[in-house]
Amino acid sequence: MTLRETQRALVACFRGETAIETAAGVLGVDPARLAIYARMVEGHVRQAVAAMFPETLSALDPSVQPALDAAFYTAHPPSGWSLDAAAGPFPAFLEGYLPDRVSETDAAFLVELARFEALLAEVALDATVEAEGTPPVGHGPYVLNPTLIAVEVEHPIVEWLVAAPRPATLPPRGPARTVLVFRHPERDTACFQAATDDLLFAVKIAADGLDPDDAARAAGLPTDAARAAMTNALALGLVTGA
Amino acid sequence: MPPVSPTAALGHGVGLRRPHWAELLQQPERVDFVELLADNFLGRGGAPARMADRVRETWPCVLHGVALSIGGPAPLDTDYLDAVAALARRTGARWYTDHVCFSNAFGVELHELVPLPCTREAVRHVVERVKQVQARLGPGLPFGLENATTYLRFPQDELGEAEFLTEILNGADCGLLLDVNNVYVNSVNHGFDPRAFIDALPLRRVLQIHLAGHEWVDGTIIDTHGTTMIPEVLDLYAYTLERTGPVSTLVEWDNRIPPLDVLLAENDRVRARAAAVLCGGGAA
Repeated sequence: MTLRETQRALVACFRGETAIETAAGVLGVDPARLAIYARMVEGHVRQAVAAMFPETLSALDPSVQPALDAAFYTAHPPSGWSLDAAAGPFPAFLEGYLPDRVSETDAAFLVELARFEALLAEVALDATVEAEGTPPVGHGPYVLNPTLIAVEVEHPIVEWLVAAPRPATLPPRGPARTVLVFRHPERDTACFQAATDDLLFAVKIAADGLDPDDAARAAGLPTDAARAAMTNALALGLVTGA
Repeated sequence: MPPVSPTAALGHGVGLRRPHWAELLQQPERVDFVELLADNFLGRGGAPARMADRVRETWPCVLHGVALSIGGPAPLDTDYLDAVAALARRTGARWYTDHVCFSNAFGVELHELVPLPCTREAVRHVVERVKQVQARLGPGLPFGLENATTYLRFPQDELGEAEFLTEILNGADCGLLLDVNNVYVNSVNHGFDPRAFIDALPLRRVLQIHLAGHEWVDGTIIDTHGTTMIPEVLDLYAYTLERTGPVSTLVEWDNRIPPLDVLLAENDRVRARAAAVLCGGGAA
């Protein structure tokens, strides 16, 4: 066999297009040893999914997961070197895979949760700020965290993630709500917060470069409330001191 | 005074893994150098970007990769190589290594070090591609290839593994990242004498040595990088050092990553063994 023929036979085996025994016969290799590689190739994708979507997988019925792993690997062969990219299509895959296997309510929640976890992973490692040297937003006493994004979700994702213990059943859709997602400026971890009025007020103060006391007076709020909002936003990493 | 060679021996180091980042920065003197798994840093901002900068400030460093697919059928990914070069500039890396294998073929990324048949066709293919890598990276970033763990042997093999590696390294004028554990693992799985294998390699090309632990699974040794190394691997390391002299030596631990102290103790064990050999103690 040529090098190319050998590689084609190996890849066909690892992709499940050829059975291990058949491929081993074609290649003239030990099927047990060939199976080691087949397991490892699929295992890398499974591990990448587990690393990016721990909460989604923890919320799945355990009986669903083994078949799901294999189906995802079959449906979405990785095409690039990045394992993050290999796991990336998982939420879209769930959208097509889950409805026949779990309740409609659960499927909708799990898909949105997976999309949220993918967003957290993206925010944690996004290189835009470093690559572009994004100038800090705000010219007042506070600077808005440049990684901050606001997303709208249809399920109580934040409430579910922070609940301890988690409720026994997955929650249904509710009113749309806004979540603030950002990378902590010191710990470099992806963080999220429900967008409360206080936090949105603090974000506006930082983004517009306002003095908190002036902003409070303009909004008809006590200055203590504005200062408390800024203190909280600073502690969370939503804003930093200028 | 002559300039220091960019490939001069760096001492004893560890593969830098995320669970150890903060703690190792608190005791940087415990290792002489670190190796970054380039694929975990490329194109990433946030913590990896920050850590890359800290590495530059703290230790000599080298880059290691798993995704180059030097034996693959597809054209080399020049974007990937350019990203590696950029990471090397950012970290001040002394050299960059990947494996003799393929990991990408026909549009599918395998994320695994899949062995090549030891044929002259494969030698020619890899040599040509190593030259492309060297040209892309430039002389400022030496490139080396690691002897990979292989669980398969192909019936069309024309060369033994040591001869295969030697022809590639000499043909491409390329450095060798000699993974001593891989030599041991392959020697058991394929039934050859590991010392004769070491003797057959072009040892003047050894740029760096890797050491790691392995485990038996269903009658085969798997290169898990998930435990301490066995005495036989340390003995083979000592045997190698007697023939190479001082070489930058690195302990890898990638699965079931232990507390940092366990990894550093492993590194100290290697350092002590190397000192015994290089100061006249000899191999066991």
